[in-house]
Amino acid sequence: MQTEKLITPIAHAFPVGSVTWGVINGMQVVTRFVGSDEEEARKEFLGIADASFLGKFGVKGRNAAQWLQDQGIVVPEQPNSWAGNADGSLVLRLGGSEFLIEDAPGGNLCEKLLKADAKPAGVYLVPHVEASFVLSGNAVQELFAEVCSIDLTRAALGVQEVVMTQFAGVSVVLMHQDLEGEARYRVWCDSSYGPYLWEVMAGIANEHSGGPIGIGNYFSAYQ
Amino acid sequence: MSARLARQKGEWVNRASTIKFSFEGKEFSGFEGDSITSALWASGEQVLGRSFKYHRPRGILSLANHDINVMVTDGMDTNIRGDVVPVAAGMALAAVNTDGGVKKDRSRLIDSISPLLPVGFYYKAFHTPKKMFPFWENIIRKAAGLGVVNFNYPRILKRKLHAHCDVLVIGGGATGLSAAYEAGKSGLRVVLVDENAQLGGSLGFDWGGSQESANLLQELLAKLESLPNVSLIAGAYAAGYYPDHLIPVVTREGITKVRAGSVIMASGAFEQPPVFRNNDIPGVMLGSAAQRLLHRYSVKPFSNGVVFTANDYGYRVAQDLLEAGIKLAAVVDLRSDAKDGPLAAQLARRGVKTIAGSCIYEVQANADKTGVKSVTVTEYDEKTNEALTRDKVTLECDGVAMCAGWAPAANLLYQAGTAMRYDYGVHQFVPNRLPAGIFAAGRVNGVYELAQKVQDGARAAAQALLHIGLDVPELPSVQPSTRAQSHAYPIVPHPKGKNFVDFDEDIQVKDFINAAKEGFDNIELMKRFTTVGMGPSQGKHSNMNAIRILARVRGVPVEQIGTTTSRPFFHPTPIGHLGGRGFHPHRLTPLHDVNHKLGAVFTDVGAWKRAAYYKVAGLGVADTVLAEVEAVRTKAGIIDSSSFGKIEVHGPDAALFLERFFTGNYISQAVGSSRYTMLLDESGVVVDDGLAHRLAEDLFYLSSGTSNAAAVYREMQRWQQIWQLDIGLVNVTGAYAAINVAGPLARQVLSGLVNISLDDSALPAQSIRETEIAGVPVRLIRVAFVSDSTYELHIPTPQAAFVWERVMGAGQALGLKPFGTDAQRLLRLEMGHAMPGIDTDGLTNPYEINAQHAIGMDKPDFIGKRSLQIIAKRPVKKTLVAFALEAGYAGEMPFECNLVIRQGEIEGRVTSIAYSGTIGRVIGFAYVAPEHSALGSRFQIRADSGALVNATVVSSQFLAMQK
Amino acid sequence: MKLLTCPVNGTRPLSEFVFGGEYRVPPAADCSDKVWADYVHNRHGAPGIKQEWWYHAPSGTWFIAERNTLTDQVIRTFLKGQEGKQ
Repeated sequence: MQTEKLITPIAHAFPVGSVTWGVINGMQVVTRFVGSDEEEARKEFLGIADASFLGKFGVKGRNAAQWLQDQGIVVPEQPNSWAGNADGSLVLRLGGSEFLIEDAPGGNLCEKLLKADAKPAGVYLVPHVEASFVLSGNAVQELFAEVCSIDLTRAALGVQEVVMTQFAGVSVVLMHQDLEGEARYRVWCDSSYGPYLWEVMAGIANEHSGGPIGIGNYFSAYQ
Repeated sequence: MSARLARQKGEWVNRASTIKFSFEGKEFSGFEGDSITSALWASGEQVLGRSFKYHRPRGILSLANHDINVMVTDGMDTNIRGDVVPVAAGMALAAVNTDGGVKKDRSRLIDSISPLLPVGFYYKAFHTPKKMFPFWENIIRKAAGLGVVNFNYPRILKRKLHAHCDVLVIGGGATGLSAAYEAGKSGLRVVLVDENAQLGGSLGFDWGGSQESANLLQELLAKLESLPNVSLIAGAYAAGYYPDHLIPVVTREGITKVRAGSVIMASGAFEQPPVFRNNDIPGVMLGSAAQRLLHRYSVKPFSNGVVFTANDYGYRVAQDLLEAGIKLAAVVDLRSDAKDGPLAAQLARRGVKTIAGSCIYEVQANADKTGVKSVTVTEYDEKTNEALTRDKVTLECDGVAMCAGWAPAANLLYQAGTAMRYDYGVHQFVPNRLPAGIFAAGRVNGVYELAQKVQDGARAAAQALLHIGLDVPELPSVQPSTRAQSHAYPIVPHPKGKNFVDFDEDIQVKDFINAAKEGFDNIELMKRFTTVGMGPSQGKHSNMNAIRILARVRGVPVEQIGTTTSRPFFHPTPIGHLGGRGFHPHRLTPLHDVNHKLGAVFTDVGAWKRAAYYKVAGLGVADTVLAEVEAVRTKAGIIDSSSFGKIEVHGPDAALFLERFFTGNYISQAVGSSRYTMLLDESGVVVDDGLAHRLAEDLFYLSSGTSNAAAVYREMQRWQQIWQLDIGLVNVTGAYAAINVAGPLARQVLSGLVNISLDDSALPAQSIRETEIAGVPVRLIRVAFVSDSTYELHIPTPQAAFVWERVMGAGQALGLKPFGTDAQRLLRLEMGHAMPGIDTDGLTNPYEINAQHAIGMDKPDFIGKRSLQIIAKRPVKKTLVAFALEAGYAGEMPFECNLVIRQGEIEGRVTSIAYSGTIGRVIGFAYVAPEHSALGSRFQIRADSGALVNATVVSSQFLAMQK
Repeated sequence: MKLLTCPVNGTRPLSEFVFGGEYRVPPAADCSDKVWADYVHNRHGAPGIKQEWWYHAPSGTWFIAERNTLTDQVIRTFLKGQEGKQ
């Protein structure tokens, strides 16, 4: 009987047996798929990692932006843009008045926000349990060219832009972030589509000599 | 006997690499870079295929994929275009559509009985005597095909890609390359595609005896090499034009959907054949085909030929043939004014005579019909368009290069909505009004001289850049050529016919005349009756001649005939390309793996995979489902309901929003209680139903069925846009999982797990509480859908599997059993619950399903109210009733949608029906006339076999019927 | 495939959208039965410039598009209530 209460939404898509499972943030996740050298090699071409365990928090409504600022959060001004907060957490403005916040690796901002004082009028809690991915590598545009019909090249995508579009027929939220000198893409989708989207993207990544890698390859906090 | 010439500069073949293959059982060898056709022709093989209808021997016509003379199969793949597919080591090929091989095709006898098979013969013959028709149909169907499909053809994964650019140039000849360079200088993303294996278009073969074209090609390619923002892609064709400049580009590997900021069409033109008797004998080919053979593959088209031309182009071809050392018996020019021209003089200096104002009246084949023996030349009257046959001259030769003019390759321009006009200077259709962002240049634009083409390409590029928004100077426009590049009527009639217009379909001149005589004299009718242009080449080499002939028959100018609609794809595209990887998005509940381990057999419910039932070894499906139902009725069952729609409505106006959206009353609903919801559309038709749970004054938690969840949320969002109430809508369908525990022991299963009492007083029917199971927050709802005693647990998705295990653990000793959607459907039926979408259709209003109680007509307004006011004034037309078949019924089982028949008339239909083990009878719902809906009324259901089955209207409290 | 511009999310291919029918204002509730029935069941089929509801599925945004149904040209798109906005 499992004692960990949380399991990654992508669990179904992971191969049985050959991978290493671990627990991050109380969630069972796969921490290693193949040997570390092989994972590093994959990352050069097209690495894909599961970041679903990172804490998430959401609010929407006409007063949501103000309420977040009152909590000390730096809020992006433009619709469909994101801002990084000092502690490394991400604040995404989805459209005009909805916000998705993701913890920095090792952070617990979202838990604090959840426990914060009762929300005033015009501020509504949105539970977020999405599957989320980190993607990087030389062939990442090849992947996008197959699963997405809009232009996601660096030239077309603004630096702080958040894009809500479709990958392989599934609605996704996407942004790009340069971290530790590396160009990374972050993708979120409904948890029920997580296994399907992972299988599609990991399959394509494999064809380009890339593939699934543990999240420790992206965030040293989890090495 | 080899027809291969000495090595020349720019040839496509790599003589260092020999390729061995077989054709029709005979071994051949060619070079890397050869197409199948060029390798065979180089080896002296001329009969490469058999025509579709008459099975005439065929060789090369265009060598450009504008005809299907050479279609072969390798046993696995078929309809392979020999003209353009490269030869590969080990290929074992045979011509398609032969009976006994291409040389000894038994079906060639059809050619000799062709007078019995005039155009459209299949519409007239064979239908009497009627009983013979299946016999003839079988024969004709077998004959009316080309390649044979091998059903073991493997599934090959093809990637479908998306690409984006600022300027897409279609065509890599002089015009296209020049346009790409001009556009590329701007630094924007330019993509050029060309269907040929190498770039250059006619620069690579139309030399007219000089090196000017070849040198220009090198120059243009060198210039483009310096622009990294320009991608040049050979072996790629633009398959069609779709709105907002979306163009699928097809290569052997797959499709790339290119979205362009602007499009430059530099696709050139299709050479059209002059039409004369036996213009299809192997060895008779288009002038440009002869040039392609010469300069791409270094292969002689023939050794001693005749050029038959109706325009200046034939002279360029003649010069190229002479340069390659090929003898020419004569150049026959249809035009009487050719005699004194400079082109004829040029030829005379090389010892070749020009016979002006004349035509090839007919071609004679050699003894075994594998090639040309001689041609008959006569004078030709351009006014009456007739050959003057009193003086015939026979010229011995082994091939003919024929030229009559061009048809613009404007397919994608037409698809984009371009209006064309016929220009009587150049004598072709040219673009008149182009859609925004689309530009045409070069031959497709009526521009033929080399320097002019280069200029036209640059002009189009400048316009494309301006369209995108760059500030560049416009370049001077280029007019279509004023010298006719095509002949107005290059047709030589002959009493014995076999003067082909469409080589794909074996359509000859008299077919058009006969079609017109029968009244099929507009282009659409003529096309369909004669089938001209309907073959695999889709009219590339035939449409212009067809239009000219019809114009002549009707006595009207060419532009009044119009053209038929050009449709994607430009060349036949494999279905595997269109399938691509085949994305099939599907949703899994967080309990999917848990269910799988329990033996779940999954079914699709919308995008979701849901457990239909749980496999039991040795038990069939029907019995398995009945056992699951029995578990719920006697002990307890557990089902994963995570796919249900879940929506939170927050805010001070939440209850008001529900009252406007649904039919029921919610302002007065107590916190902690649940109420039924019914949704109508504006016409009063039932759309969906569900439950509204009030968690707080300003928070309702709604649940609805799986299939409509997304649509219901969408409609809520839209109505909120209109009403602008003080609410917040949150779609939490994916955020929460749901588990139902149902049955007499359900309460016992859960008592030890949840933090609250489950007594009737603490948790009455139709109520909701927030509680916990092992530290996980749970919304606990008491419902009565599948049984009177059902508890629904809503759990945050990531913790669902954890909670399921806890519940299964607690229920094991009590006999808790998982059940799936099959059992659920029967359970709800036994409970007497009608379901929208199953027991209602697109026209059902609430009065027809006895749902008056759910409608709050006293409310100021709700969706559908105004229509209900009108409908309520009318008598009800049909009523949904619960029914049961006779006790012990063991006859044919009726199905959903079987009709209710009364006195031979349709009265209604069955919407749900199943055998209930719990009750021991077949029960269901059906529509009957209102006057026959009273309890105890009888009606009959017509089962699939036609048998009438007796049924009785009963109370929907089916379970009360239990013994 | 056609492109459509969501006022909030930008220009996207049509596959990201759901069509929501013609944008029409219902007659007042006290209208005659005949007027109401005409509103519910009848549409004007003649080509022309129509206002239509469109929904951008990945972001859940409803907006209105003004489209020439003869040429299939979309003249403009806007959020309800922001017709006048430039």
